[in-house]
Amino acid sequence: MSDLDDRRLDALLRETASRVAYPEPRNMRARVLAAVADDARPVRTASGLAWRPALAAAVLAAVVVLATLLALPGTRTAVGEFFGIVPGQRIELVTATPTPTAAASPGATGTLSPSVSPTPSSSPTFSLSGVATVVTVEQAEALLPYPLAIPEGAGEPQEVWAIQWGGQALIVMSFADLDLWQTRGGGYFGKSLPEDVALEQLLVNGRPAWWVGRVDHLTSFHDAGGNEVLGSRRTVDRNALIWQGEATYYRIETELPLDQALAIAESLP
Amino acid sequence: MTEERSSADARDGEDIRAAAEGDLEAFGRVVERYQHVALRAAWLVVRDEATAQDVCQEAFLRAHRSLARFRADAPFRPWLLTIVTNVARNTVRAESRRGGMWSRLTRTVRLVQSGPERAVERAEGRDALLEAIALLPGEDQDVIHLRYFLELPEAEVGDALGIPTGTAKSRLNRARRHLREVIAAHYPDLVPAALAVEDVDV
Repeated sequence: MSDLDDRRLDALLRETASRVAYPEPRNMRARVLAAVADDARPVRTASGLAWRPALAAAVLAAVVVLATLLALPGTRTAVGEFFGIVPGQRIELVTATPTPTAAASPGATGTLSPSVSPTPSSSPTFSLSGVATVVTVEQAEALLPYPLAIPEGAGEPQEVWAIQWGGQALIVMSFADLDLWQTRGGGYFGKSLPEDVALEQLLVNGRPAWWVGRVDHLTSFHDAGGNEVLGSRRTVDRNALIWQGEATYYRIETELPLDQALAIAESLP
Repeated sequence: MTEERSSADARDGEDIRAAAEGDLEAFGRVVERYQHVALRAAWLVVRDEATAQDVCQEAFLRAHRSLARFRADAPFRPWLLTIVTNVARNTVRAESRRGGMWSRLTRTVRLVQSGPERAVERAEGRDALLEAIALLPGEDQDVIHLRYFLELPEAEVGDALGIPTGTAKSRLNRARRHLREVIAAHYPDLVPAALAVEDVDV
């Protein structure tokens, strides 16, 4: 085996690669453009959001159920059970978090920007522009009464966003391959899942976590009283990994596969 | 970066800006430009032609959805290949939960047999090497696929993986080391094949 050095393996790889019979694209341009055209056809909803038809059809029923349950204080566990989560777990594990420690009233919620992005997007840049502020890493650290967690293996954050109300701050760090959300507190991050989505339970550093494989779903912020924060609703179309660390709630949105997302998640306290 | 590559990037920039503003024809040109490499990337992960075609279509669709977030001055190919690979891996994961695709990943792949002599042996060696690569961790597979099978330069390998070029080189070295270990453990017959390749081609 010692004969198979790097040079010889390199040659074997090149020779092998040159002889693979790859398939040819079949009508790819037409297929893609048809899919794009279908994807872009908007459906105007009562809330003013323009949803893609398939997404709208898939999530509407779930939105009604989830919104109803979240509107009732003390129903977090019930919501968790509704989505098949271990009974007794906090709903933040299905959702994520922000919000004030002092319960925000509907009036307080209304003081935030009422703008709703007309185009669903998973990017904080667009979807959170009404409620989030761009900050530096240093400013984010100053906002938190606990250490800002920075993952290993994700590179340098390209953008950092802060969302504050009441006494709670939510920090969103956007890296090349993922967005990391982190906060501590008692608010909610409501998630409306399509009916056929499979939540995958797993562990991050031995703590329960949930992986929502890439599926379009709606998310929105809710204060401790269950009131949706205006302007916070958005569509996520990437994988989401959600878990609670030692004391912080985390959420990763990414196109990365689960194993890579997990490796990054496990670098966080 | 070569002049040819710079020219392609310039065309990408124009078409992507237009596509982001709703010009479907411009996006069609992008699809035509990258459909072959995208399909190869998809096939290397899923190893099934029909699935690879679907993965490729879905990846282009997601790329189109994300055009507004794409930096027009960045190279498009590694960004697209990242999406393709992720879609392909998610597809494999979903299929494996249903028990379908995982078996295909370790099946013998059909290869072009162009050499008149020793064709069978050489094809078997290539099959074995592809099977050995399929046994590597996903991270190792990605870097080997990008460098050898999609023939990306190291800088673009780094772009596709979201890591610096130096880190991409290190990761490639590590992947080759892992591959040698897999070959030693499971495909010892590949060693003579590798030596034969060197005798002929190096």
